[in-house]
Amino acid sequence: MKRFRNLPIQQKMLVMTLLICGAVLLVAIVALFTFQVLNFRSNFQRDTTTLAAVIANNSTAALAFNDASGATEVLASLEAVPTVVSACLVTTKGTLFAQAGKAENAQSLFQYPPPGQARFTGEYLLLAQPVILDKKQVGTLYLRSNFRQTFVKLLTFYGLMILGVTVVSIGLAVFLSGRLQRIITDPILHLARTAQIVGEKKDYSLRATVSSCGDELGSLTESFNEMLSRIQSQDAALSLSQQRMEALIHSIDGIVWECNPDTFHFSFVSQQCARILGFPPEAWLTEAGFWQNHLHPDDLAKTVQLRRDQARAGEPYSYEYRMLAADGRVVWIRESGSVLAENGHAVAMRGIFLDFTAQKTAADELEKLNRRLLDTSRRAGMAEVATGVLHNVGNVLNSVSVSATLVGDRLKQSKVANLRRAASMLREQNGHLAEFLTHDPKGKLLPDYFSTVANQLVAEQTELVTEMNSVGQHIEHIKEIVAMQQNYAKVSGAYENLSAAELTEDALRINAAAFDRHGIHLVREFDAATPAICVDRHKILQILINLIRNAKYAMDAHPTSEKKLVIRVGPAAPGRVQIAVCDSGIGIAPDNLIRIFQHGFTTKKEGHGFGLHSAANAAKEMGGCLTVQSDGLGQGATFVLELPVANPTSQRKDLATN
Amino acid sequence: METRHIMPRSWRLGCVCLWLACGWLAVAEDNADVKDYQVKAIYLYNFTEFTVWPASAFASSNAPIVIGIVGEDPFGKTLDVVINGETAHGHPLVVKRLRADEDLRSCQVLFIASSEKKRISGLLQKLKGSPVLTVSDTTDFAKQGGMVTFLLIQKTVKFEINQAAAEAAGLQISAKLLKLAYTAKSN
Repeated sequence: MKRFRNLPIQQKMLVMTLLICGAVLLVAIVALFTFQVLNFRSNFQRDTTTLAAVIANNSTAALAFNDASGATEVLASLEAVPTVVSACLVTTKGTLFAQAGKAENAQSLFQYPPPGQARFTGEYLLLAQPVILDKKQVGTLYLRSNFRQTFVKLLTFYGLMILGVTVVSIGLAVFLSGRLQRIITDPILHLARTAQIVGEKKDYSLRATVSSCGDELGSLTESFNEMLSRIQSQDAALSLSQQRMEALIHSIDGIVWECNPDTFHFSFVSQQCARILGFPPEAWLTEAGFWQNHLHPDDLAKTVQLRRDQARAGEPYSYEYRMLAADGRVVWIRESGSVLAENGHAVAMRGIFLDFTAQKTAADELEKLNRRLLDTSRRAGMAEVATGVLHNVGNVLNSVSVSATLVGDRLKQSKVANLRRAASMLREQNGHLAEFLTHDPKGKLLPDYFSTVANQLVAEQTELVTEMNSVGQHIEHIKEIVAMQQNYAKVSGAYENLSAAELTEDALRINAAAFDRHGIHLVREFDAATPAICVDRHKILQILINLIRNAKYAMDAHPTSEKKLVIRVGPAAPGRVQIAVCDSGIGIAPDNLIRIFQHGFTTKKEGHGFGLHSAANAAKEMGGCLTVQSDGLGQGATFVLELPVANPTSQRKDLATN
Repeated sequence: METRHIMPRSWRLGCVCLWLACGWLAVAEDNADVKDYQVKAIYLYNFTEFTVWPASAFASSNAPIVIGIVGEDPFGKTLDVVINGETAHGHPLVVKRLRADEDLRSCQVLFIASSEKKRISGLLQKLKGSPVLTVSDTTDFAKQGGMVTFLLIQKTVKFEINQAAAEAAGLQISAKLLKLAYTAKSN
């Protein structure tokens, strides 16, 4: 049955036709055969009886005229009938008149039935036929006929006939079905052939010829064609979208790829690979271990391991590494990918290689720039601090200079030269000194003179000593300022847990001389419960010095008001510490409040608009913020620096200097 | 069984057979001539069975078939015994002994005895065209236009038939009879 199902449709139809023909033939033959076999005996008996009747009729004259030879002649004609074994004519008296074939005797004649009847005995049909002449019986014909032989012959004949009929029928069936089935099979085969060609060539523009219309085959063919045209349009749309997709994939500025999750052998790479790394796609697809071979040696082991881990993890991932291009360039690759799994087993990895060398370089550049900027700003800050320092040092040096001039003047006015003249006068009176001192009028004045000079010198000395002490103090102050500057200059960029009050005090100390000089009344409102803050000492100092100096300028610019500077240090919002610098200066116009921290904004003639801007940035860098409040011009201003409280358990890592 | 078969349907036929058998047995030592005429008598009867007359030969459908004997009757009573009660084609059989000058056309079968040997041609001439089966045992009977001639061949009675003469008279002689007969022709 399976073999029959696999047969081509033509053969199948042929086989079916033959089967139908065969079945019909078989039924007909069996019926005919059965009928013939069933009727054989009666037919045989009838035929034999007819034969016997004819012979009997022909024998009447011979019997009537007692012509035995004539009767024998008649019986001899039975020899032409092969089934007849023996025939004999017996007169009404019971004497054997004539016979033909096998001789009969009284014994064998005894087997015969009464005249007019027949009997089948063994393989023979025994027949007794009365010979009637004009209604009078003139004798009896006994006929012995072998029906079995005839039967076998009949069977043989039927067998041959059946064979012949079968062969002819099958031949005819094959011929006719061959002709007729084309009506059915030709369109089907045509359809099948078309489908096969379409399948092989993927050419959906082909169409099957509609040979017959109206029947199912016609509509099938039409449906097939319709399906083809639909497939064609879909195929066109598909290939268009595929082209678009491919164009998209190949135009993506990165290498879209697919690879084996075990060997990392690429099964697909987009065209951009040639541009980005200089290797044609064939190299990617054919070279075993291409990816590993072209990784930067420094990244090789780490990246391969990373990718193996990702392949095992099966999650989307992204990481960066370096590859070596064909021309030896180092290309920074950011690989983003995902793992395709089937039944929990990774079957492929897909993703994209993005060349971010430029960004990497730019980032490096930026970092370098940042560092330089930081450096610059630090230097600028240092310069600013140094300016303040020098200003203060200069002020102190003024005092030193005044003291030095004073000392110089004093020394110029000193009576030391008169003392030398008195001394040389005494050396001239050598030997007569006592007389000179007692008698000479000049000599009598000398002791008083010496006493006066001595007193004067003592007074001068006292004055100079006092002056020199003052100079020493000033120099000491300068030393202190310089030492502090050195201290801040040394430590930069490091975050430390520091006391806000101490830092404020340092900033004030730097400006201390200016406060006196400008007659500023300083009020410290330090809250003792202020927690430590985690800041860059240098930056805080820079911000505070800046703020104090601004306050000083603001108050100078507003001479009528009382110059009062309030420095407030205390805790603010949870985790925050606030340092407020409130001045009674010129204040800030509402318009400027929003611009005050912008780069380049300044109200000072010689200002560069950098101070508050960098101060605000620095505050932000440290996780704090710098804000300003002012009720308007002439109303003073309050700058508030808010800073994060130090976290006692962890200190922020140093970012800049590493 | 044989006896059962031979049991006659009509006792007449049985008698005939019995008579034939007895006759043949008796004739064995008897005069051969007597025996021959016994056979010839039976044959005459048999001829009626194998000959078909035209309907015009009979006055009616049940008119008898007349077997006429011209000349000295050689059969004696034999022929009468043979035909007694017999029919042929449904016609009863009658024997008539006639003289040569009588109207012979009323017969269906005419046996011309050897005594009339010299008058045969005349008789046949008279009968020409009549449906009468002429039978004789004279030599050259057929040549003269006679229809059936008894012959004696090897002491057995045979006969020859001039079929043309019979057909000319409108008689139809059975092929079965012709098959047993010798063929003869008129001059």
